[in-house]
Amino acid sequence: MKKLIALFLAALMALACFAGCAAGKTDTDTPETTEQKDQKIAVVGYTIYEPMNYFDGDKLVGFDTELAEAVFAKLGYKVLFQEIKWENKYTDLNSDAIDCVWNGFTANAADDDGIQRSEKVAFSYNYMENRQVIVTKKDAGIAAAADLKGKMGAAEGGSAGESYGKSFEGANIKAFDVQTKCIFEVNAGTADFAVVDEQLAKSYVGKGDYANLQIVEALSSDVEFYAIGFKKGNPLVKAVNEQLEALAADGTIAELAEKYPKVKNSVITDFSNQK
Amino acid sequence: MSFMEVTAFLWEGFQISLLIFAVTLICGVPLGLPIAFCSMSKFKPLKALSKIIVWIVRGVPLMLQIFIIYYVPGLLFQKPLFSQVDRYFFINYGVADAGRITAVLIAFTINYACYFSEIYRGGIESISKGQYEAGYVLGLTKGQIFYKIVLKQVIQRIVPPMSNEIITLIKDTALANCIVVCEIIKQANELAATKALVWPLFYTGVFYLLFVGLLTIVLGRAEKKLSYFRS
Amino acid sequence: MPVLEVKNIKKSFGKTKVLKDVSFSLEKGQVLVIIGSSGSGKTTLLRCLNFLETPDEGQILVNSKTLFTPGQKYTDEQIRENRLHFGLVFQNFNLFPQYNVLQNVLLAPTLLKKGTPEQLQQQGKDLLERVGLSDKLESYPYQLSGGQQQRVAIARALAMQPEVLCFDEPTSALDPELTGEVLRVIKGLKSADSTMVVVTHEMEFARSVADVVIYMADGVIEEMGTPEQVFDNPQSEKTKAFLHGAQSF
Repeated sequence: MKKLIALFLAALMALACFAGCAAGKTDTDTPETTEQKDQKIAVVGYTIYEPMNYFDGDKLVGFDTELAEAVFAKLGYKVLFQEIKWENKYTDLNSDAIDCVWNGFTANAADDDGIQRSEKVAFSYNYMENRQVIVTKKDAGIAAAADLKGKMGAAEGGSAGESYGKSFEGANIKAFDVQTKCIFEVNAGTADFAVVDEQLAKSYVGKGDYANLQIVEALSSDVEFYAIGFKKGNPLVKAVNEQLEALAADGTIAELAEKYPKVKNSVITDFSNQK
Repeated sequence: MSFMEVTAFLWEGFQISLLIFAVTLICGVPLGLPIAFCSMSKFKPLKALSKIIVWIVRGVPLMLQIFIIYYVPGLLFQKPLFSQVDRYFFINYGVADAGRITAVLIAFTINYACYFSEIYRGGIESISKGQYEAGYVLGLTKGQIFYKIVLKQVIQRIVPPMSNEIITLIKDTALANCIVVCEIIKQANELAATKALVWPLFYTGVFYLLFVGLLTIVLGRAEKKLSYFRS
Repeated sequence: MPVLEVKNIKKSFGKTKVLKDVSFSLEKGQVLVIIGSSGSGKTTLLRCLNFLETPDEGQILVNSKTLFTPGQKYTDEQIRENRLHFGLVFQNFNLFPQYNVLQNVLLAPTLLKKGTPEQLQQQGKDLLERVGLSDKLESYPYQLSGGQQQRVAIARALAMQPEVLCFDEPTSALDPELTGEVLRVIKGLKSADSTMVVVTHEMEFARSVADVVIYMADGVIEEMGTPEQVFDNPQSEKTKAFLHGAQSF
């Protein structure tokens, strides 16, 4: 209830601010003045994605969450984690609604329009390996590429998985707003298979209501890389890269990987060949 | 997660839904009046302007309007107002989502005010000229005629269509989901994403049903209370 | 000295000339009955008297005071004051549906502070007794017959104590069996100090109640005189034809 009252008051004050601006007051809402107390703030966009960004009770945890906190702490930023819709990530970045997408963002892939993602956003160093995998019900009878023909597939809209899914001839890929929804679809029987990140699939398949799902290993994609996405021209990219190197050097990243064993074998700590 | 825990978690989201519902009504119901008067104005440009606004607002999906209000300041004018509000309230008060909720509230208020204005206009225009003339020949002022004679008849006529809109409104709050405001459907999706729990999504329907039931009773009473006369 | 003087009133709606130079005057306590076929301008004349329409030309005087003369701009306030000299009973009653009978009668006097609430209450009850509706004070208009509604409308108009009370075809919207009660009430109002203008199609009623009868046709006063003159000895051919037609119903 407290949270609600706080939100209500916040919304009212915000409305009052707008009314003030509309009434011709000067630009009091510039980014500099909103960041009071000399506290810099970084808004990190994410979708719920175990083991990268997810809730443990009330607390947002995950490999990406903690890595982002560590990097921005070193840079002197407070972090606001803002959930986004994956298909809106470019809009969110370009409208400055968020500062970066730190959420298992596959860097070396093209979107549906055939344009490489690296041409749309500025990426940091690759910090993790990933593959796209096919998730089905255990009794679905899908074992090879040919079995996907004419089947309904679910993938996150605008994801690397969506592009990978469409590379299978005859597969009918439908886009959803988050990867977890795709798994939900398969479980509900409204989709025959889901194309999702391996890191995510390993966390969900076989757990809770999803006990009857499986990963079809034979259909996994080639290795791809996760990086942090920024709006083109954002100077934070360089600063974040430097901190990634520093955190790799002092063992923080390796420590984090120990904490999230599912990603342990995929973490990249040597950025020397990416400079 | 126990049933009670899920209920509490969803209730947190439903409070946001109720917040959107309440603010939209509190701001939208009065805001509809000036829009209605403008679209009945004898001053042609004002009338045209308000008709165009109503046409656009009713003609464009509410979800798109939320996107426009939330994103366009940043995309077109490099002034991400709502994100700045988000940041400001987070850093100073530890409250997330304030800017997004504000964007949603603005979109909902404008949208519903336009729908309400059309209902008001229909109600006002449905009152016969004779009622005004009867007031005039008794020497009443225009204000007295509106408040003492016309208004109650208008209210009686608009209660059923307003009830419809109000019931639609609580369900429309789910659209706030599109810019990831933590209303109840969002909360349920989060449970599916975080806890691999599927059933809470369907359980949210119970919240809506109970609230709509309550609204139906309240609005039905209002309608009944006003049914003592026939106009 | 006449209570009401109407001088050279003209009124057009677009290209249609509805009133072409209408003049008459009325002494205090007189009843003027206006007859004529539909579209002859009778109703427009009444609406001009009540300032629901603005005449294009002419003058309206009450007790020698000029209420209207063309070319002058009248504020809403002035028009409102002018209206208070007149009352109007509509063809369709136009009662206020959300108020009960007594409230309908009391609304305007209360809003315009015509007396203390107690005085007004008593006056309203007296008026309703006069129109024979003492037992319907708490009823809502939809619960009444057409004849009863029209009697409430008459009481409502009387409550403002107008100098000239106008009736616009008060029985046209009523079933035939209900016209009698309304006409009886109007007739009962005739007294030394109540001046009335009645537009009606009821010829028998007109003959019995009128002091002056005007026959209107095509926006002009075709014939004017006592009931005997107009009904028994009409001069104009148009009047003769109209009366003949009215009788043959």
